[in-house]
Amino acid sequence: MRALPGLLLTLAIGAATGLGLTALSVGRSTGAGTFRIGPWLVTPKAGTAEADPYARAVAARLGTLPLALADGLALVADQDEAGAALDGRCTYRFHGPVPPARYWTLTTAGSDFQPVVREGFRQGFTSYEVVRGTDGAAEVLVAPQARAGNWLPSGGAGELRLVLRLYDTAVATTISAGTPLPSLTKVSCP
Amino acid sequence: MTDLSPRRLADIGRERFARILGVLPWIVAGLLLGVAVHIVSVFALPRLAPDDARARLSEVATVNRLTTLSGRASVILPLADPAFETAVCRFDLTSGPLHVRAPVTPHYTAIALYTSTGLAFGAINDRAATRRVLDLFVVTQAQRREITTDEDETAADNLILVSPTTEGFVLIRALAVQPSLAPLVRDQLASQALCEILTPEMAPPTE
Repeated sequence: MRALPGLLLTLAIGAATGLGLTALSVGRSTGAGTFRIGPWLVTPKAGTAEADPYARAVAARLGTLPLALADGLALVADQDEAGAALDGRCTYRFHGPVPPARYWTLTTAGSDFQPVVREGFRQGFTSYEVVRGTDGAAEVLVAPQARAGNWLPSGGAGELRLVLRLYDTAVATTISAGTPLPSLTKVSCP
Repeated sequence: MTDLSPRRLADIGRERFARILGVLPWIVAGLLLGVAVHIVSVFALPRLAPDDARARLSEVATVNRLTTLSGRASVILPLADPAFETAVCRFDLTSGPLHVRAPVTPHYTAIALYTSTGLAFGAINDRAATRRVLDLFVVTQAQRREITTDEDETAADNLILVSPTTEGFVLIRALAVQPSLAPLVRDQLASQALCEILTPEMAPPTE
């Protein structure tokens, strides 16, 4: 092939694959340092000075600051126990036990981590205010319509994420694929 | 009329193969370039992203002073925990070390430190508090060498964290365990939290 068309082909392929790969990995908020435990995605080093470049790029794109590790650890669920993507129109049951932490919070978020519920609606539960069952475990129902018990409004729109943040916990440094985490089961869908 | 004898077909086949072989090096080079572009763009994003945390916070926070992010901090900083009240301090250590003071709120308080590109380089929470306030000093490597502790104080009384960069952010975060307690926590932060640069004339507070 002649030099000029060849060079143009190289540049075109380079730009397309390079930027495409970046858009895919950073856009989906996954990367080298992220791993999955059941429905939960965790990037343990995101809140440290050893954060991998993907985690830093994701944070820069979202316009957010990661949770510093000595402060807490964030776990993001984008699918339920069975592996189906979370949908704001369905009803899910979040059931403890939550790893030992001084406090934890469970909040809803959209696909780009913007709030999914309007001002005035509950965005999340803290471990302090959640009503517990007789076994001491916390059970939260994430649903578009009000439910008895701990009801977390899901917003009723398509994409949904649940963020579990554990504060002041040893699990921040010891988390691994074997750490027991709360379950997230789909109860029903319209 | 097209000549489709076996010899002619073989010639055509060889021509096509040669043409593909000619394009191959360019394609391979393109893919390698793609990998390089990908790596460079991922590294460049924290510095180039137009709407990153630094841009968002620069709009509301002034340098070396504390600003409470009222209402929902999640609006300015997505992914901020809605149960937390947050105060932010942009710092610039060129004129001296930074002194951060956070009140110990009833349930959970943390001070988190970030470089200007959003890398968390340290945090402490109220477990480290020995009094009703948390005092922390953020210094550059050069300033750290200059700080000497008096014989009366022990090193443990002064929490000193070295910042890898001269500019960055401090987030003071306080948990409101239920929404009705949020105004109380916000008021405590607004009235008792502090962020100031210690110029050479000022001695670090010792009380």
